[in-house]
Amino acid sequence: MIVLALLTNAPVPDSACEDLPGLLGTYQRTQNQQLVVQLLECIEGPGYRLSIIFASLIRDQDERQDCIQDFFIKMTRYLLRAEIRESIPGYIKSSARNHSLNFLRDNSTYSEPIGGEDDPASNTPDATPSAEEDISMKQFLKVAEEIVSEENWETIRLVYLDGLSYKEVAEQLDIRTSTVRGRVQNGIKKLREQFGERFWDFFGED
Amino acid sequence: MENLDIDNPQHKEFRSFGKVMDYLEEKLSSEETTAMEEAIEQDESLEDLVNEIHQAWMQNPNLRADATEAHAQLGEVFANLDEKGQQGAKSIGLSPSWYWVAAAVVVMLILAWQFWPRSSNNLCDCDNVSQIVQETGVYSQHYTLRAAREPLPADQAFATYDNKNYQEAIPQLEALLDTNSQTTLENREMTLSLAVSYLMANRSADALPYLRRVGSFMEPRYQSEADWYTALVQIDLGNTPAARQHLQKLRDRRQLHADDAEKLLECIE
Repeated sequence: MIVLALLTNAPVPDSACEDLPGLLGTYQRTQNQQLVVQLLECIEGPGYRLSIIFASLIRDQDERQDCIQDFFIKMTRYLLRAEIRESIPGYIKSSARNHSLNFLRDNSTYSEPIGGEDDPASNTPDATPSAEEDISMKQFLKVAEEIVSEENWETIRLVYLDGLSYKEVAEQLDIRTSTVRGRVQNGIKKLREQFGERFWDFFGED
Repeated sequence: MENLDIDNPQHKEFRSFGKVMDYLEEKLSSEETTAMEEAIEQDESLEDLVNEIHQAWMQNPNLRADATEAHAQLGEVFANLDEKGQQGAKSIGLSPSWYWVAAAVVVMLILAWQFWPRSSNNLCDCDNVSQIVQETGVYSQHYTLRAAREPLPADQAFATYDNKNYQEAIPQLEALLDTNSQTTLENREMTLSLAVSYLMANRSADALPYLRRVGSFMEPRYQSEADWYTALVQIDLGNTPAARQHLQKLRDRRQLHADDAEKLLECIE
């Protein structure tokens, strides 16, 4: 058994990152978890591509730790059976995002729904609880369109409501991606000044 | 395939999280900003990275700190998975030819065991605990992803430690260690490194409080490391019963250091 373990635990060469499907195939054949660690490290890279997903969605450190651990346990199990394909990094990144959102929905006290008692938009005297959300949403849209310039709001809508990437938005609006970044940044700044962090609830992450 | 950092060796100096954040937060000099923008123009994968980080930053204005922490948390999860992988490698799925190779190696090992001169790494032959540590491998994990992550204040101390300059590493680690915080991986790594440094610098008694702290960390690998080094400290201090307790725990847990603990138990019993 020791010999078998040694055989299956042979060091993974750095060049393995260039062939992630190959790495996954080897993992599935040998069930060697070191390989899945290598695969995930390749995707994380110096750009922190997985960390930024967890950090952007879950701000509480302990919750994030739990979410990350839970995610990677599920991911290692999943990858054992996954279809070997080219889009593994994209799949893992979108899974990290979905897992974080589900985790927040199921466990977190971090994100209070907008329309609560601190929400100025919900102070309509005759608003009923069921209508409150609609009214708040309408009021949010009204205020947002007032405080954010038209072109910035359009860009934000495409990114955060329609879920397009910056590159797709740039193509659709025929502008540079640096312009998309600038518009998003200016618009989000205005929304944050007006609503604090609660405006994210309107962008329907879940 | 989707663009990955590793696929594109171009503009490596720009494709770290810290550098991109510096660019987005306008902390680069005008020359660096120009160079970054030129690189983004030429390199689609770098532009993708900048966009991903920008979008995340918009959602979390504290992204720099939170992502750095998340990266450390990931490193910890990877280390745990890696450890489990080392313990849990399974034989199923190997092709039949591998069994023949394995069988041949087993036969060769048995023959070697019979005829080879007595191995020098027999723990019972060690004169002191430093030698045992050398034989079984000094702790030097210091974060997985070291190459990829941001430089840390403790890196210099870790390097001193890895170079086996334990006397020098002790004051460096002590100066940086925040004894009130167990929350960062860096701090946990420093605590363990400091304990091992004391042991290796023949100051075993000084290692004990730090090993107790290491044993209180939640991750199983730290508990195994704490038991292993505490056992060695106790041997060094002549407290064999205490050492035996820690070694038995390691052996029964069947995780990190279990085999070494079993060998060492045979030596002291």
